[in-house]
Amino acid sequence: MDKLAAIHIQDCLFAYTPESPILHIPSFIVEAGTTVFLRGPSGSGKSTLLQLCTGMLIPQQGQISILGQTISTLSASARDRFRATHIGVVLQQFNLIDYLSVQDNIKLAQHFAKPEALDKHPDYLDELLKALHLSQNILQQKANALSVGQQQRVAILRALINRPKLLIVDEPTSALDEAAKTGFMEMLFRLQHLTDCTLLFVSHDMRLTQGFDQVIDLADINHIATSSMSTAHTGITTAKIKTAKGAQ
Amino acid sequence: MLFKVALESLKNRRSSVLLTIFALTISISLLLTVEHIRQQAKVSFTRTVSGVDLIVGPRTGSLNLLLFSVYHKGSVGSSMEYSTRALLSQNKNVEWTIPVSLGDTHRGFTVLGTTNDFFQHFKYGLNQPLQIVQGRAFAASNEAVLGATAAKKLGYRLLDGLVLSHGLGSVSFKQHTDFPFKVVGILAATGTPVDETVHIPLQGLAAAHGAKNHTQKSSFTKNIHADKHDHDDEHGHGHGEYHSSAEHQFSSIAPNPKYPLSQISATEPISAIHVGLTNPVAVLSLQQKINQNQEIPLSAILPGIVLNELWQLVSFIEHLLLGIAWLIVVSSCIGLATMLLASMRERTKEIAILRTLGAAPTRIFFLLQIEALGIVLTAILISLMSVTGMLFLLQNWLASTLGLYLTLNLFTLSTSLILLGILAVTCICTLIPAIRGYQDALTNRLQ
Repeated sequence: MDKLAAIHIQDCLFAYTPESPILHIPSFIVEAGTTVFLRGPSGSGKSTLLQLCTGMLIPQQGQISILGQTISTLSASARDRFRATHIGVVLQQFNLIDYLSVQDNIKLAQHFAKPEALDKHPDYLDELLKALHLSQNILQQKANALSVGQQQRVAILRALINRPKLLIVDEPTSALDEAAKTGFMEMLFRLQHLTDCTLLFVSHDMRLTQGFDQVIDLADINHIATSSMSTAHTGITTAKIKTAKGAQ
Repeated sequence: MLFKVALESLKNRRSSVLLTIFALTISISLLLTVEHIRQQAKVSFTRTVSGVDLIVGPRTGSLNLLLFSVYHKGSVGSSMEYSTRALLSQNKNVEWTIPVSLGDTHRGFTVLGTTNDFFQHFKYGLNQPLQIVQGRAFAASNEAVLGATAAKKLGYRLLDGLVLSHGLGSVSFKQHTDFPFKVVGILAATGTPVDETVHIPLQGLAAAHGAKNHTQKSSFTKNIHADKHDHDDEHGHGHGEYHSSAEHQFSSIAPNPKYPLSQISATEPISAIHVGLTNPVAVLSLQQKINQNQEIPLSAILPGIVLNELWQLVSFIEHLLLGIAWLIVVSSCIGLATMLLASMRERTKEIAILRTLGAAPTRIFFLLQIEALGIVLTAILISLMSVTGMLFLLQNWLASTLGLYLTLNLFTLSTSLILLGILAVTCICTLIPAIRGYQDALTNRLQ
């Protein structure tokens, strides 16, 4: 395996149902320490690709290596542990558990990671708070008391709390206004630099590509042409049931 | 951490959680109460008589003999001659005998005619003897020794007077007013029917009955008058006249020489005889000898064995009650599972977040189990407190009306097992939402 690659996908084939494969990626490599903008509209298999990269799904064929670890061959619990420890994830929405305080949301991320991987540096949290323009007393607030912008910033903080080597961010700005978007992107880059992690940024908004080392279109690496949105959706619905059965 | 998430999640769904806790508390309280009363009833039932090897009475069913001679319940039926006692005492294995004669009451309390052998030999609980806490045993035939509850309820003190009523029941028109008794002793509480009994000497009972025959011969108006007089007497107690005079004589309760504890005539009827043996091994052969006696029709029973038989009869109802209580608990647990299952829809998002953070599906499973157990444990705690409180409030009422003597301590082995059982039922019922959560976690998709 190429130790330098943060993400290394080879001959990967994934299908929820055997008749309609979603992804076929002959090769996709994200070099460690780089920032990559992955463009893909919804329904293009982008979510599936992210779930493959985080080890929540495994491909029917091919290999997926994250940070030098072939995760497609790990056991389910090892994949969960690996994700908790080495990968930070920020989603479009629903990142925080509403009824928990910000502090508890952060602690939850630390709870599932390997204990030895936890950052023992006491200033790290302060550093993250400062970089994200968040005040100390936000820690005591309940997640549902925060504004959308604050929630997304806390989500970034939580994703980085275990000092992951890979940060996956999926449409994080879609709920933000223009001014907030710019600020958010600035903070993201600053933190990427600070923590020296690999950043995979997924969005359909081409205006945000500025500053990325690489801009990749999902359609270029996925050899299965995305058909119309509607069929893709029905495919996913039936697929959900199939995986549920298959996973048991 | 998982506990904290569970706690916060429950707090977030306060109203449905509180309702579920409420339903569970009611059902668990019911189960605990049924179980506690069941156990305690058994204990209080079996501790009434101890150290009595054999109960001998006129020929009758063994249950009936036990019920009236020990619990003072049921019909006394026929009686036997006092001479039977002497006959029994001749047997070399017999150590002591207690004659008992029943049939009269005093203001609703059973009157038991006996001899001082009763206070000397009768045992209850784990071979505990009776204790006279105030005064002394019989020295004259017009004296009475009261059980603890009887003394307390009637408000009698030493040297207070009382008259017997013929027959059972608290209202009786036939009062043995011509032969009044005087309280000379009060027994310590035992938690058995002894507490509710007025003990008088057999000689006194005979004298009262003799007087009764005399009264019956006189006119009906005299009876009415006698009843009224008695009532006035009691009224006087309330105003303390009697008490002040009684307190003067507290130090020396002299027996009245007018009523000596004379020899009891052989034909005086008695209801039963409690027998203690020197050699308990002889009990079966003696029982057989008595039951097969051709000359005098007698029954002899082993109280322990008949007590068990009696309990077998009651145990059907006891098990039925317990079964119903369990069903109610199970249905509450199913209610709990339903509540959790209904909450799963709004929690898919929460589960997705936990999965993204690296929570294994088994963690989601345990999260739901922890929540259910938390709810049930809370309900159990509230139940324990409320049942203890309820027992504390009802303790006296149960003792006086049902003769149930309950302890407040709920923590027995079988109660603990029941609580463990409830937790097990909870885990089983919660399997449904927990497995659902597990599957949701497996098929979870990033939005």
